[in-house]
Amino acid sequence: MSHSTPASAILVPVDFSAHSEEALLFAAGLATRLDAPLLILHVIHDPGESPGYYPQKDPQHPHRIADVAAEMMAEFINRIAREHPKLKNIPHAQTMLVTGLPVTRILEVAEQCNPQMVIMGSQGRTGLAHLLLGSKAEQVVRLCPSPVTIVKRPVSEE
Amino acid sequence: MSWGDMGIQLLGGLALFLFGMEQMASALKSVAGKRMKNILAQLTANRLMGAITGAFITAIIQSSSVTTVLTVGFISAGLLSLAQSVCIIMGANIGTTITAQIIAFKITEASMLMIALGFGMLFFMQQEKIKLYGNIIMGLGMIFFGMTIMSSAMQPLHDYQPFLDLMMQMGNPLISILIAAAFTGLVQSSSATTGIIIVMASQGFITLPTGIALAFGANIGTCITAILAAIGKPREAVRAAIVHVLFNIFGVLIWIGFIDQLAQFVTWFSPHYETLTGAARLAAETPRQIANAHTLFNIANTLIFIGFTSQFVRLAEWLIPDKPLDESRITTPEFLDEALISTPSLALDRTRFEIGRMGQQAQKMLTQIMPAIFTGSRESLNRITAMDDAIDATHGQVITYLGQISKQPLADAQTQEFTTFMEAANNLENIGDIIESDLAGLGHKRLDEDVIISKKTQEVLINLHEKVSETVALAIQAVTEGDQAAAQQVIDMKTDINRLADAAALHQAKRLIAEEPKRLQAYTIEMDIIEKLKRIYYFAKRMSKATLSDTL
Repeated sequence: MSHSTPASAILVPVDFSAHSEEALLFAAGLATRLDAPLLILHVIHDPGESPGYYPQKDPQHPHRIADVAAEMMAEFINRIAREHPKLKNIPHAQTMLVTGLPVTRILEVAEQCNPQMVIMGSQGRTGLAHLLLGSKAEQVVRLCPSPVTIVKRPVSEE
Repeated sequence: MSWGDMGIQLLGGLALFLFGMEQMASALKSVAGKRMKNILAQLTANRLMGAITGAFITAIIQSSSVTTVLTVGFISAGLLSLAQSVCIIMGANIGTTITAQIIAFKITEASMLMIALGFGMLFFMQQEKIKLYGNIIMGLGMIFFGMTIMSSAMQPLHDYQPFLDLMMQMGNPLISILIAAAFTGLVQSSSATTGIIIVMASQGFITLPTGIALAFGANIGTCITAILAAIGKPREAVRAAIVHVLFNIFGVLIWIGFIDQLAQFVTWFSPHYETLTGAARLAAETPRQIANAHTLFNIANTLIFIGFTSQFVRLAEWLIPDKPLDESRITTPEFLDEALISTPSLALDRTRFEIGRMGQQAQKMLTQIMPAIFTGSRESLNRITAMDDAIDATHGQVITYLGQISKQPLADAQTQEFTTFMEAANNLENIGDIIESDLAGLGHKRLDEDVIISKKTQEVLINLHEKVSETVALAIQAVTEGDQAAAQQVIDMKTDINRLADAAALHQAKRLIAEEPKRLQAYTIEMDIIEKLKRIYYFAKRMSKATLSDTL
């Protein structure tokens, strides 16, 4: 892995959802206050429960899933940067795209980059959904060597 | 009939049957290969659509293993995800039952007519499409003819007690499943196994429950092809093969206790021949009943499991964990899949992707070389030189892959595409070599002789370099996207390139008299740079011309 990140970086794994947007906003604010670099990570993984997570814009000329993911990542960051111009570190954040199983990859990146904190959103699944699908955030909290902060989207916005 | 004669007839019949299947499948792939790719690539998130697509494609190419191999290939290419592929794999099992349904028609009387008709279309018609259809009909005729020969070879076994006893042993479903799974794994075609099951049923050797158990075994044995195709592929592709295995084994496990009930049910709704009695009635009714049970079993399994695709995905992900993050795949071909060689349209598509990757490498080298020649260190030049190793390796792999494709029957359009790709791979390799040895060599020469290239000269050379880089990018676009306009643009840019090269040469000539140290050495290096850039344009132009002749 060629990425070398200062030990003080804040790692934000995102899946482009409202929850991860909330986590990114929180992380960007915190990173500004701590003067820490921001590392935004997306793990390319089409979830079994909802296949087609990376939609092809032009099905006649399909692109590789990794390319679609890269485009989605750029759009996600650009949109948030546009909507929150005060958070100047978002457009300049280091980004990383890796393919694999989300929890495994987040933990591997955390081990290799040694961030001062991992900040991620949580969908907050409960009941049967939690039993069947589990929670990525929960597993990261349990297994990550760095401190982990889970950001939950305000209830009113759910 | 002696044992020897019987054995020869059986083997000959089986050989004709398998050859017919091979010929038919190969022609079907040529007719529908490209369309299948588009269908697979356009898959949406809808699970049912995925299953229908899998069933449809498999019904056309007559092999669930090939559908799974194709799916594994698409996943390896990064165009399809495991989650999307599960439903296709499930649907493939339904599609493959079409073969048994066709075979159960027992239109053996028409086999000679089909062979003659197919032969006529193949040898007397000019149009390539009609020839392919001729191949399909002739292949189907040979399947039926092979079945007729096998049936007549088995005739004496009716009175041979040890064989009848052996068939009684097959009453144990576990033994039947294992035998059919092993045979299917060996011939790598579940349709071949079901074809033979139907021949045996039509001779009255096996009962319906035994036939069903054998068909279950065929479903398990067919997974071996997908597993073989997934060896050495990315994890996501291996998982797809595992899903195929899990799905087929779970399906059999669910039904193994209900074979008799399934037999009763298909007997109820399959056609009856009331006028016949005994073995003759069994022989007339059982083939269709087996085909129906095979179809019903696979449709039911897909309906049962389609709600559990995410669990299948998670189980496969658990069984096959990710490789560590820092794996290097620099010189491994990303797209060239041996399993697709037999489907030239798809194999050529993969070559196109790989050439695109090769092109990206060449462009990267081309972008980095000028600053390295002007002001770079030996280390930066060596880094660029090392990049050519990847191009050389990919070139070798592409040429070998194309060599394998060329052994397959190619349609005219595919032959042209083949030539374009061969030309593109060679030209990109040449471009890589020019940068690696000639241009990087000039950088080293500049360092050896301690020459300084003036800012003004750098600007003039960069103008030419930018134009040449543009032509290389356009030529790659022309090859990888079949963009004729881009190819024409490269050819039309000849005047611009010559003008810029002449302007650069004139600039050098004027500066020859400048009061600068080592002016002559600098002049030699600069003129060589112009020559090498022109040479790179020459190869870009050759790539483009090959693309244009594609359409002639």
